[in-house]
Amino acid sequence: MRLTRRGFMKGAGAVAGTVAAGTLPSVSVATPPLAKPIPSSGELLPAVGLGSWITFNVGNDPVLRKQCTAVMRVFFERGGGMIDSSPMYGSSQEVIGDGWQKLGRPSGLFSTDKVWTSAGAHGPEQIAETEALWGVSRFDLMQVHNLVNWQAHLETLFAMKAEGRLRYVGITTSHGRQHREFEQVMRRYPLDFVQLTYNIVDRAVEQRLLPLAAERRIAVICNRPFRRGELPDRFQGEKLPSWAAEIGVETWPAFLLKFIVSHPAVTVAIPATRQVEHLRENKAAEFGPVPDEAMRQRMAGYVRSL
Amino acid sequence: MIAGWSTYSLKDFLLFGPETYWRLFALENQDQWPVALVTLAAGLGLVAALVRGWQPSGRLIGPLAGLIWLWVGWQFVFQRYGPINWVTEDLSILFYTQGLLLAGLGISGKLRLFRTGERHAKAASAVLFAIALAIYPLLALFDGRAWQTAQVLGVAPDPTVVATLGLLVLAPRRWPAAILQIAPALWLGISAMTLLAMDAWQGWFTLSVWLAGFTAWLAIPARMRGPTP
Repeated sequence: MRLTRRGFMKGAGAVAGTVAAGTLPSVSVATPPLAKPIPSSGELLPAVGLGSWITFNVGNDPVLRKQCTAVMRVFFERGGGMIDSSPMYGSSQEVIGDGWQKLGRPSGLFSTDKVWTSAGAHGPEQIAETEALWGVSRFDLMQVHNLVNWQAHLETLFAMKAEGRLRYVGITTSHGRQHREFEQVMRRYPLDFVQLTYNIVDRAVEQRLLPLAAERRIAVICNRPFRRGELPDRFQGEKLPSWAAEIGVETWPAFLLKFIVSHPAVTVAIPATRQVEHLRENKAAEFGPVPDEAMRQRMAGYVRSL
Repeated sequence: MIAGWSTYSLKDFLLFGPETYWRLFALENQDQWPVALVTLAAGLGLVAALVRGWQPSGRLIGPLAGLIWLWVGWQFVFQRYGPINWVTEDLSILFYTQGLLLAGLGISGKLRLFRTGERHAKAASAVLFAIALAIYPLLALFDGRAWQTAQVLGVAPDPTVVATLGLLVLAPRRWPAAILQIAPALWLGISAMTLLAMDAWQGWFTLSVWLAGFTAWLAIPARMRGPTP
């Protein structure tokens, strides 16, 4: 489902803050909610999406499925955006599809999934199964999961894009793995998106991959923004710095997410949660001033000092 | 499929959270009610009969235990656990294989139980049955979880497997029993790793119980070969 500039602004009820990749001003921009452009198209994407790793893998549990649907409801009420999953994530795809159907297929979904099979010939079949699980006729973004047989799958995905059966193509990695190969694929192919691990303590991608993404005009999705909940848990007992108010931050999750999405090359962060309250805290990172480089360094320095 | 295995930790292979995992047992107990009660009562009845000197043959116990493995493999491992862990859909084959082996070896007379009057073997068996029947359901309470999440013999895999270890302790250390030790070792090992990845102390408990059961089987029958028919 296409998320247009007009649709996003209407859904969010506010003027979207456009922060062009690579041209983030050195002063704060206070035009919430934050949406960032996909470099290959200019289409705006809300800066905080929704991951589904672990949290949405609830099988047939009716109580936990309701929690997932409730999170999705609030997600769409707050402007929606990217929801990301993978065939690797157990029942997550089915749970997302179920929730989206139950909510009446609300607009604002930027459907994102992955192909994850070692057999290249099995890729199209797996993608078709994934579309059925979500209940979508085509995905906004399909990525090659962890570079598994990326040669064959990229061929499939680019062909699907050329035929109009897919809007964007990407690749993923996580935990800082496979960066050398990842970089080579980024240099060789006209990718729309890359997904990688980036957070306030895992910053290796700042050295090569994020600058390369900006140079190649590739949108960046950041996974593990909280290191699977470890970072908010670690800082729970610590006070936010008094200057956090300057960037409109009231909670640690918003602080951590704001650091990520304020990087000029980053397009969207995808924290995963099954708690509505956590979703609200995450989405709050789209509001208020965007930290400039000096503020980002201050944020990272403060976390290092804890 | 995954490059650079050395960079992965145990947690990286965990596909679900603790709440989702423990609720599997609550849902299964609820959906299968009163199966949990029946298996619990049957287990206690079996223990009482054994204490009073009943020595059922492998021809009876083998197929019975086999049916329970088939049931748990299909009902819990494949149907309940499978949707959140695609690995267990494949692992359910372990349960079907073990179920068929128990039934086949039992019916063919190769599963020989109570070949000697060795007291230590019976004591070890009683302890393992007690763990499967009584301790496993109580783990939920020890852990501060709702009692509905209790793991019950004949419904949940771990106590079912531990009860089987209790049965195998009574079998001579020969090839039929050796083959039947494979599935318990694999399942309890994987179960323990899963629990440890969730930072659940029950992982150490599971490993300890398997080690105790396997060691008892290795140690006790070696001294009590006894006559074989």
